[in-house]
Amino acid sequence: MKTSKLLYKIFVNPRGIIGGSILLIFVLIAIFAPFIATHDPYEINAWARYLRPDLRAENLLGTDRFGRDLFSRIIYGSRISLIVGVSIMVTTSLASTFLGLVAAYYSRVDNIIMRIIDGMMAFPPLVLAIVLMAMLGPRLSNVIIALTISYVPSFTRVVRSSALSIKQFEFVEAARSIGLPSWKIVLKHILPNCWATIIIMGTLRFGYAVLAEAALSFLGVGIHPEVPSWGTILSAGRDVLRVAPWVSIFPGIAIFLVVLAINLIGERLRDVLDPLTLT
Amino acid sequence: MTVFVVRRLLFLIPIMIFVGTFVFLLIHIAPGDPTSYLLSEEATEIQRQAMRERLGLDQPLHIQYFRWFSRLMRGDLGESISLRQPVSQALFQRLEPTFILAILSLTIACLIGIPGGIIAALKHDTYIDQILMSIAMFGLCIPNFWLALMLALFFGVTLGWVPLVGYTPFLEGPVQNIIYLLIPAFVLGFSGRSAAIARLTRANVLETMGKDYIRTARSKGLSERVVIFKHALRNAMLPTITVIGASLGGLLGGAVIVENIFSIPGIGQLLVASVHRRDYPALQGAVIFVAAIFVFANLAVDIAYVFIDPRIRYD
Repeated sequence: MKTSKLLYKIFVNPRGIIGGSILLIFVLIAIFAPFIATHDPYEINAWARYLRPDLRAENLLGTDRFGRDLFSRIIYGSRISLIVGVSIMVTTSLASTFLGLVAAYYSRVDNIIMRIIDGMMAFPPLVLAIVLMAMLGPRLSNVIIALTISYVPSFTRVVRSSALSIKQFEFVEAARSIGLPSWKIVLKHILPNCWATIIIMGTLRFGYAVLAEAALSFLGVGIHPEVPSWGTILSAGRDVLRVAPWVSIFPGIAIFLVVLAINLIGERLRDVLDPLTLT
Repeated sequence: MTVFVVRRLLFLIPIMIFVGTFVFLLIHIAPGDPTSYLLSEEATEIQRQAMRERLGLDQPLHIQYFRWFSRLMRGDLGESISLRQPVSQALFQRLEPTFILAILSLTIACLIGIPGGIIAALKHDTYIDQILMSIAMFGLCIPNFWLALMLALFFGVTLGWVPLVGYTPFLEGPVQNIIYLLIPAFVLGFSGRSAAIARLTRANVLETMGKDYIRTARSKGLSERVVIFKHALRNAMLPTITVIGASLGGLLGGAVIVENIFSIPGIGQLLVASVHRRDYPALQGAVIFVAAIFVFANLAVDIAYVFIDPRIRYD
């Protein structure tokens, strides 16, 4: 199927259009954050601490403990969430595709790779990410490294099993019998048949990553608390839930909307690319 | 059957060795000198050196590893730096809240997810199905820490019905204990878990309802209720058990967050507190412990599967 036709099929549908539009809006917000934000997200104003949200006032969504404008911080926070989401989607897809294909095709390394994966799967992903962050320190790049390591094992398993089932087909045997080198068989005959799985799994990891980054930052082991991220804002809001609940309310809505958009797109991708599964 | 269980138990040994080695390397290769958080800033280099020798940190890495591992094998997880008690003791003290929280939230997830999925499947393509599946989507996307804060805000602050944070041990007050854990357990059960269970249940019931034996059951004049409860649901429920087992990883991860929000003194709270206090022995112990629980729970699900579905044979 041609790409344009495929995109049409994915997005011209209620789920696709809702998911696509929400995501597009957030992408635009992230790109044009300096123009949308009304304040510098780092600007401290001791005279304007914990102002209530007021659409007619200067601070639309109120201010936090340091008098920083919450609207601007949430606008800038979209950058962190989208960077983490896209990076994790790309890194986990690349790593898992490589590992999964190698494990499926080369039985000699299969055992080694899969035993390591089995070991990694003994850790709940978020717990593994917390430990890695404790070792690496609170930085955006470290969040990406920690979440990649946490999400690759399960993803690799899926790619491997998908590649293994394709390896059984006769066209693979035919390719081997005409003397194609193994890397060519993997890239030209097996990989193209795994694309649907990889794209769907990768998209889902985008959503997981947005949630996980916010969770890590919320627990104080993710991004540095000064940096405006939805997780760090929520983390500060939790201590003042009684006196300033608005600090916690709005970043959560933003996280929810982005994850919803990704999941809607993911479901639509599954319907279009992999129509046989039911869930 | 016995052979299968024994083989699976033996398989746990290399996994746990991997887990231990991985955590050991992670913590020992990480930059930073443990004496910097064990001693005060003014400590002299001689004091630091003495501390390193006392902890065995002056030995080569492989010697440290074998020492550490042989102690681990004897169930000795070391001494917590910040709590000043053995790590294993600290973990056992914190087991109860996490355990009750996990059981309670799994129960809630099943109570919401299974009926939700069944009803959605039976009312396939009606507005009821659509509403239920929208709720499931909502549950999948909502961040659990945010839901926790919002429920705490609503029930704790606005209505004032429940205490915001805290915990009473089960034996001291079972009712109080459940009251403290109800909202945390609902948060954990609803966000993610119940949605996944509902979606899978729905898909499986839909698939089962299309099978030939359902048509046979209907054509011999059985009432719809018998067809659904005796023929369809029994077969459709099997994959749900797998997803409940697979939920445990997410549940343990989620427990870390929820325990921290509601100040529940469980394993998850110990884990995050150890990170903040740079209490590496406690962190190591907590992670190994969580991994062990997770691995054993998965084994339990695999074994339960054999009992529930007589067609499955693992030999």
